[in-house]
Amino acid sequence: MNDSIIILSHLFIVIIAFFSIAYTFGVVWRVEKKLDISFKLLLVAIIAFTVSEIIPIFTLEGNDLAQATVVTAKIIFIVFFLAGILEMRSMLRKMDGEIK
Amino acid sequence: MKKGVKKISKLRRVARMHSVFFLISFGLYVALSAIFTPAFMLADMQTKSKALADETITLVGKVLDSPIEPVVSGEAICSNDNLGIMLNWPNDENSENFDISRDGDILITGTNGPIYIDNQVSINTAYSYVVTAHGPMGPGFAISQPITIATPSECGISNLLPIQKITTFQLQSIEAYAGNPQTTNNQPSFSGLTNIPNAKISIILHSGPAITATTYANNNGYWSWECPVTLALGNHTLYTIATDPNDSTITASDSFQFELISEITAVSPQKDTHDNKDKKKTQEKKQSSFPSDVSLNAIPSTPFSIEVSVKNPEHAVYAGSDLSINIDLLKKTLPFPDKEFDFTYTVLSTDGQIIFENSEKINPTQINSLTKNLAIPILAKAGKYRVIVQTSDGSDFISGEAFFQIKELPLFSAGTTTVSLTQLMQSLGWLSLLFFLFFIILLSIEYYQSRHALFQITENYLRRHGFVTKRKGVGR
Repeated sequence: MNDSIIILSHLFIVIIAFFSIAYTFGVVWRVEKKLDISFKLLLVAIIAFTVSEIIPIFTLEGNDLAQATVVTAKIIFIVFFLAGILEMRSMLRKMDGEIK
Repeated sequence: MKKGVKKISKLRRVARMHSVFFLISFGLYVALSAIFTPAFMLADMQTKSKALADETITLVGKVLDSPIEPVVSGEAICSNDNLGIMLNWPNDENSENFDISRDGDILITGTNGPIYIDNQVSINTAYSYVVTAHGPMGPGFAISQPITIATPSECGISNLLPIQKITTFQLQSIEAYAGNPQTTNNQPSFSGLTNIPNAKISIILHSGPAITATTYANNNGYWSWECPVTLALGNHTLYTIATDPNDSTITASDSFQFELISEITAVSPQKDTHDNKDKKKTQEKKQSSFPSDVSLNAIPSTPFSIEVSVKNPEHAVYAGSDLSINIDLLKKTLPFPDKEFDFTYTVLSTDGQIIFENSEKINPTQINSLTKNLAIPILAKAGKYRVIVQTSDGSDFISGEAFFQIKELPLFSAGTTTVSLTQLMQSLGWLSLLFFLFFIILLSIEYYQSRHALFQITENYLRRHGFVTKRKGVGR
């Protein structure tokens, strides 16, 4: 039964991730310049995260290719997430006068 | 509205949006089906096109049709204290051989028909039979309606001796080879029948390499085995012994000689010369049981054999749980080689799909028996599966197998309705498609709304409209 809860949780995560992708697209379409760049980086991160959550649902354990794809997607997610945060941070630092 | 943007009619705008989102959703649907396959249209089309490409058409003077569904009739017979059920069905030139199932389990495969007598029956018992015809033309098989026949309540049955017979070689009945069984398949398959239900079948095939295997017959006494390693060209002998699982003194044996030939030899068949006729007669003499007092130990074989038994209750396990098996290593030769063997554990379905594979090194000198827990994947389909434990040191090949059932893990139940995880996964394809369409609609709504915005948000816009305030304590 615990395994069922884990699978259902994965499905819930995927559904919410798809909602996040749709609304992040909405933000990207509404902003420009630095805000646009930072949210685009976050968008790539959320798409990679969604892919990393979808693959384990459809593949059996022991599939090496699937495992490698999941790990790669998770690396892309965290790298782009950090890049988006850094871009947003750089924009905020310019706006609040810390740097010119 | 932004400068330079042409004003287009509402209808054209809607039509453009519809075509764009249709193309995106169809493209992603096709891409997903190519990657993940379950229940997607493209995978189904791929499977159909591959099946057509692999189809074999045999022309035999006139074009055959697909096998006709056998119309089976039968009756119980009791003659000379022999009880049996006789099945018969109309002859069919489109069918090459027939498989018979009894009460859901295979009874015999590769029989020529159109009559079969089942002697492994008890008095006052009803049996349900299904006959499957196999032929060369697509779809390749036709299944009869089930027929139920009851045996009489009285029949003076004499004490039945245990019987074990190898009935098919390479999916064809032994009789079809007319005493000269040959094959070009260097991993041939066999099946047999015994009147001992669930008998343990010990198999020895020795003529390079030495192969020892154990398997189990089903409730009807039917067993099948496929040689797991490549055999050398030439003559080989298969020995089988069926042992009653409740009484190891009750055994029955059979042996079978066959020849593995190269494809070149097969293409140019030999003429029936005097020498060949003598050879056939010699081979016919060898197609008989070896003496029952000859034990397997007298036949040159491997240093030990493997017996696998499933410990889970009712030989059934839920998907996602562990399959617990007991492995007995029965020593045969002395002195026993003191070295490590590479043991491989494989779980596969009846159609040969592997769902679990693992290996480890074990020194059989140090242990006689061990228990292993094999993790069954949570998405494994329900059905009958085989677990095979095998090892080899290059010259000897030893294996043992057992059968078990995988049951679907129930996810939730509402009243009498139970939905399992596998059922949910099987319908996931359509659910995913529906959700994906919903996602496309949500995306299109977001895009449509963003196109109606008056301003494009930038950092300067936020500053000018008061979204950025001075930090407390910082002077103007």
